Order: sequence, then structure tokens, then C-alpha cells
Amino acid sequence: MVKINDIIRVITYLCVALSFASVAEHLDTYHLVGFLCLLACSLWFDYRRVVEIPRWLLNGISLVILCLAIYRITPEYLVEPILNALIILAAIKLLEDKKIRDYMQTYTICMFLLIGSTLISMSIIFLFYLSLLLTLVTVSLILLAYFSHQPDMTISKRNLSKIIQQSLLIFLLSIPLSVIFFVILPRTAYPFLSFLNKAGYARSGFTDSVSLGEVTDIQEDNAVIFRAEMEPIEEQKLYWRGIVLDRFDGVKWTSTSAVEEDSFRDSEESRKVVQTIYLEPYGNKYLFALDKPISFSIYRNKYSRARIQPFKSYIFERIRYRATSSVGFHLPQAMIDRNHYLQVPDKFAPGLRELVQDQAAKRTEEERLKALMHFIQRGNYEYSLENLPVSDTPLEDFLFIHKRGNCEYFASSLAVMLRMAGIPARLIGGYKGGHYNNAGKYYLVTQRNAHVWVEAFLSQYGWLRVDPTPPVTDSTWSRTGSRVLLQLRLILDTFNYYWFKVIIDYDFSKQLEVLNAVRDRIRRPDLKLNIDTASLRKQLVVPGLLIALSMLLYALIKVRKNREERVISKFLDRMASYGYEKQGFEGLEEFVNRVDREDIRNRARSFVEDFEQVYYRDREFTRETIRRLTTRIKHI
Amino acid sequence: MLISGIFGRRNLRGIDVLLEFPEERFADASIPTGIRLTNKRRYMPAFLIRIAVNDQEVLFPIVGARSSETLYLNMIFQTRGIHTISEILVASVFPFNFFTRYHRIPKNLELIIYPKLQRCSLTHLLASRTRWKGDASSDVPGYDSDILSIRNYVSGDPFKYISWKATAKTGQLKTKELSAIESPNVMIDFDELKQHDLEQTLSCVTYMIVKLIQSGTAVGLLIDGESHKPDLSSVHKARLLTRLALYGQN
Repeated sequence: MVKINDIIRVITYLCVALSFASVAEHLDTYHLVGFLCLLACSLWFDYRRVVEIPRWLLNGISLVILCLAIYRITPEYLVEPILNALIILAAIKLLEDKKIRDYMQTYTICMFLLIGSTLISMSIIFLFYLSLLLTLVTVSLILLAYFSHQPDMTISKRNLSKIIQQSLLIFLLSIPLSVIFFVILPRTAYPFLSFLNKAGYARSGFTDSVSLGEVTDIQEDNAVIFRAEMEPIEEQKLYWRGIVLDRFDGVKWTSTSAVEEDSFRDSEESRKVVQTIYLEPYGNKYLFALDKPISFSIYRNKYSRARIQPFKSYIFERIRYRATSSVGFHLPQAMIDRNHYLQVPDKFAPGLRELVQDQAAKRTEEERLKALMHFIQRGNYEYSLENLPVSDTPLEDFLFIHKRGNCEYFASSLAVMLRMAGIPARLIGGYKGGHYNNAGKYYLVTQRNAHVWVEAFLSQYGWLRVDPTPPVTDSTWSRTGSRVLLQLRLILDTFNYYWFKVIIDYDFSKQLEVLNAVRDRIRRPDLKLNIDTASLRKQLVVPGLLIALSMLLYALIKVRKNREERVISKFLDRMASYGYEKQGFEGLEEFVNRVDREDIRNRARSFVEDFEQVYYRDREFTRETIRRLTTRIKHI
Repeated sequence: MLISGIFGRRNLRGIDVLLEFPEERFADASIPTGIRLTNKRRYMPAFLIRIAVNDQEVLFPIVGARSSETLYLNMIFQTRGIHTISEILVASVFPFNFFTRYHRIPKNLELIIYPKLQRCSLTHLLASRTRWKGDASSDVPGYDSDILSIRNYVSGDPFKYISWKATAKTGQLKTKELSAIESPNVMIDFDELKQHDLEQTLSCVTYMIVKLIQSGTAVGLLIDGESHKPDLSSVHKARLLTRLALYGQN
């Protein structure tokens, strides 16, 4: 026998531990340590049951913690203080002398914590935590119903397992209902609470400007930036365009809002690729698409295809859009504002200017471009994320002294040199490459794929993509062990991808799609199924055989139970419905005599006598007899 | 909420409640009543079922599928006569302690409650009666009065009843069979007794009938001109007590 109160306590601790696990990474050290200390105290108090801390004191402390949390809240830092305060409140609740309302409050806090964690990040692990928490809370709520009748009630382990089974059943049954509600309840395309999670997303990698010479090291970041659902294409074409940086002040590249009209037609050899992009909330407002994007599903790109119009607001919520791109190396364009793209600060890097004039003297645009590319590619320049030149003249330091830098240095150098050589040039910020996930049929692009390249304008071709950065051997992923890790990550990411695609991304527009699809089906009852009958037949043979086999087996088993056995089992079923179970050692008459309700006993006895008349005299159980006996059973 | 509603509803379905009362029920005395709950469902156990009968409650924590369980409840009826239990209230807060779901099972059960048992001034008659009138021996074997016969010893007979004389004569162990003392029958004239407080008289007479029959005295009753001959059977006792219970209630 176990005490119900003890089980409820254990479950409550598990719930708090679970919600702690879901938010642990977002807690600051003080709250984390505070929570663990309080938890240890409450475990000790519960175990020894020596001290009882007065409720008013605990309530007072809770109030102070809440006030402190409210004081710490800023528009940018909203969720974390609340989560930090809530976890402490949960631990304080554990310290209290627990009554039903205390348990309920603890579970509510746990729920809030779990929901709060989703405001910061919503990965599929949330589903795991949620299911576990809901199961535990369901068991506990049922036990609390017992607790409410008699706080010191004890229960046998067998009955406890029955209660647990029942709560699991409740939980399992609530899943299909939740799915139905998820599908049918109206929802908006724009989540109301998205403003809450601004703080969580301040990621490095892609930026809307390129500054040189500010940092020495760049930390590699494996955070996912977007997933692009599409067929795989050649790796050298995987340039994801984001922003055009056209203004250089000597150290920093920024984007001006210069707009040029599309005055070109697509080159015929370029291929159109449609991508569905699931962009993570990364805290900026630029959208990405394969170079060069033609159209976006979420808005009409009012700019040219060279420039992607930024999203209307900063992206703090996962968004999905479809982009169509014409994949190619150049963007044909007839007219540009040449001066705009030849701008270099006055008196900037005279040494460099000399060098360029040396390299690019008296040649055609194309030759000059080739010569400058050659200069960078053959000039013993190394790709590096460490020991970058930190100075006021970072570009010159890179070209003439350090000779090592990341893509920003390579691209900036080439763009500046091109401009100095009279070729209009600009930087394009975005991503390069990505890991293709065959299971989910999408490219996974992480922050480490962030890249900057150059577009040079040649009158003959228009804008031409040139990437001076030497190919990087992907050091982390290239080792054998890490390849396995990468594969593992891709597999795990598949689950995340479907979670976002099916659950998170499900909005009002999708609801309309489902509704329309259903309506179409209803309107077209003469739906022609275009099915390959041969393959269908093949596919149906095995399951069909299996079903036939199991039906045959069932029939055989059923036949083996002869008529009299069936009658007896019907009789026993009927008696069981009145609460009388025949024991294995009991004879029929003995069983019937045990029945304490006279009316039932008499009717049951008349059946037993009738049955025995036939059975013990070796008479045949004819249809007529069976019918008669069955009628008797019905009348019991 | 919806699911809990469904489960709560199912939890009260397929449940049968049977009340088992003792044969004799007296007013103002606790009556141990068996409440037999039968869960007729095939799979689902019955959880946390509260049965209320006449403001008295009993709680069944779990009753397995297709089984019954009996719990006892002490019921008290303050007055004699016919009491009707029109319904049994089956309630449960299962699965969560948010709502209580009720289900009323109509029963229309009529119970006859005998008058309250009350020791009274008449009872001293019983105690002193033997001294006044002496005993009458009966034909029933017992251990109190005259010798009825002498028979062969059967193992287990008390030694003090061995007839040593007869044993010596015959050479075999012999046992004396004595007759039991028979009390004379008692006839209670209720109409004579009911003078001031009717209820008290009823209680007193009830007490006497029960005590006398318990001590093996056949009791008869004269009531409202009806005469019930003295008898010892339980049917007779029930008839007398019922008559007293319903006295003046048509």
C-alpha cells in the first residue's frame, strides 16, 4: 500500500524538475543556484518533516521576487526575468505545506514555465516536455481527487496502476482531439505574442553592413538561419542573396536605398528554381533567396531583382515564403548609375590605387577584372577567422601586411580595387552553400554559411558574380567523426523541420487551403483516380494476404470454441455484468447457489438446469436448444 | 475539459447499487446497511464513487470492471413506520476534482422501521415473574428440570449428567436426559397498556417482545381488538413488530 499524498509529492517534484529542464538554459546563474538550493531544502523538509515555514513569510518572499522581476523587465528583455522569477516561485511552492490549491498552483507555474520557454525557442523538444508534463499532471489531478476526499488515503499498487492507466488513456485520447482543434480553430497569420521574444535572437553571422578591422576573431556559429525546400542543385550555384552593400566609407560597407529599374530580360540559359524557405527568427529584416531572385510569395518585390526588398518588420517569428530564382552567374542589365558604384572615399589608400593602376592599365573591362581576380587569388592570401587585422586601415593591412582574412576582406578588397579600376562593383551579403537533407528534401543553411561576395558590372554581361574568397575546407565537418555528427544533425533536423512545417507554420491560410481542398472533393464526386493499377495490385498483395491469413486464423480459433462453450461464455458474461464472477474451481450449480440476489439466482439456476439436461445426458446441442438457452440467458 | 467530461460521464455509467438491510430495523438505532456497488462495465474500473442514501455517504475508491464491492453504512431512522428511499445518489468527482457529476438511481424502496427499543417499567415483570408463578417443565430436552429418560452415554455428555446408578446396574455408561424449564406463554394486552405516552408504550412493548422471544418465551399480542396467539417463530415476531411499527399509521 502506498500513501496517495506521497505519490502526489513525487509527481510534483518531477513536474518542477521537468519545467526546470525546459528553461534551464535561459536562467541566469543566481536564479539557477537559488532554485537548486530551494529545491534541496524542500526535499529535505519533505523527507524529515521537521520545520514548517510560515506561509506569510513564503508569500512575502514570492512577492519580493516578482517585484524584482518586474523591475528588471525592459521591452528588449521581457521573457527571461519572468522565467527566472517563475522558477524560484515554483521552488518556494515546494517549500510550503502542500494543500490541493498549492499543488494546482505549482502545476500552473510549471505550465507557464514551459510555455514561456517556447517564447524564446520552439523546437520539437517542447513536444516531449509537454507530453511528459501533461501525463504527470493528469495522473496527479486524478490522485488529487482522491486526496480531496481523504488526505491520508492509502492505495494498493494494483489500484495505483489502474489509475495511471486511466490517466494515460485520458492523455492519449486528448491527443486526437487536440489535433482536431489545432486544425479547425481559427488562427491568425501574425502571432500576437511575437513581440515577446525579441531578446532571444541576437545572432551573429549575417549583418546588414560589413565593417572591417573591428574584431580579431570571429566565432563560428552553427545556429540554423533558414531551411530551403527544393531539389538539390550544383554546389557552386548555391549563393543565397540577401543584401546589396553599395557604399564604402573606407572601413565599412553599407546599403543605400538606391533603386534601379529592371531593364533586362532573363538570359535563356538560366534555370528557374522555386524554393520554399523557412526563415528562422534571426532578428533582422532581410529575406534570402537563391541568386538571383525573381519573385517572392509574401510580397511583390517592388525593387529590382538585384535588390531584395526588406521585410516590413524585424523577423522575430519564424516565417515561410516561396521564392523563385533564376539561377545564373550574371544579371543582365543595360543601364546603371556608374558613378554610384565607382564611389571610393577621396584619398583612400593611395598605395592600393597605384597597385590597381599597375594591374589594370590599358586593358578591357574583362581583362582588368581577370587581372585583379588573379592578383588576389595568386597573392598568397589565406582565408582565416582568427588574427584579423585590427586597425584604421584594415584593407591595406590585409592586402600588404597580414594577408589573411575572411570573406569580408577578400570581397571588400576586390570591390574597392574594381572601383578604382573603373569597373562598377558592389558587395552582396548572404549565404553560400548549405547541407542538403535528403530525407526532408531541403537545404539546411547555418550561420557559418554567411558569406559576402562581389558583383562587378561589365557592359557586355551586366552584373557578374565574382567570388574572390578562396574555397574553404570546412574544417569542422570534414573530419570523419564530425561527418557522422553532421549526418546526425541533419537527421535530427529533419524532425525539427517537419515540426515547423506542419505544426508551427500552420496558420489561417493553410486552414483555408484545407477547407478549399475538402470543398473541391465534395463538389467533384466523380473524382478520377489516376492510379497505376499494376503497381497498386503489387502493393496490395502482401497486406491482402496478411489480412486473409489473420481472418482465417481467427475463424479457426472461433470454430474450435464449440457451441456449448459459446453458450457458457455468454452466460458467464451475463452473470459478470451483475458482478458475479465464476471462480475456476466452482461448478455451475455451486456458482449459481452463491448468488445472493434471489431473482437472479432463480433465473440463472433455470438456465443451468436446462443446460445440464442437455450436456450431461450427451444430447446434441441443436440450433433449437442453443436458441432456447440463449433466451434464458437474456432473461437473467 | 471535454475529455474529462467524457470520462466522468462514463465513470457513472453501468453502475448498479443494491442496498442490503438487516431483517430487524429499529427506530433511533444505527442500522448497518450494506451498500453493494456493482460495476457492470467490461473494461473501465469505477473510480471514486460516492453513494449517498438519506444524507449518509459512503465512498468506493476503486471497483474493478465486472466486479462488486460492499461497504457498510450506519443508517439511523428517527421514527417508526414506513420509510421510503426513493432514490440513491451516485456522485463522483472523477477524473479531476473540478466538477462533481451526479446520477440518481430511482429505487422506491419501502422500509418498515420498528419502534425504538426502550427498556421500561414493565420489564421488571419479566425479571420477577419466575418467583411469583414457578416454572413449568416441558417435553423439550434440556438441562434444568425433571428426568425425561436414561440413555446410553454418547461421548461429549457432561459427567455430571451420568447416571451412576443406572451405569452400575447395567455395566454400561448411562446418561440422564433432563427436560428444559418452559416459561409460560405471555400475552400482552397492548390496549390496556397504552395510557399516556403512546410512543413510549410502543417502544416498551417492542422491547418486551424482543426480549421474551429471545429468552424462549412465546409472546402473543392483543392490539386494537386483534389477537395474535403466542408463538416463538421469527415470522410471528416480525408480524408483531410490524403491527406495532404501523400502529396508528393506517
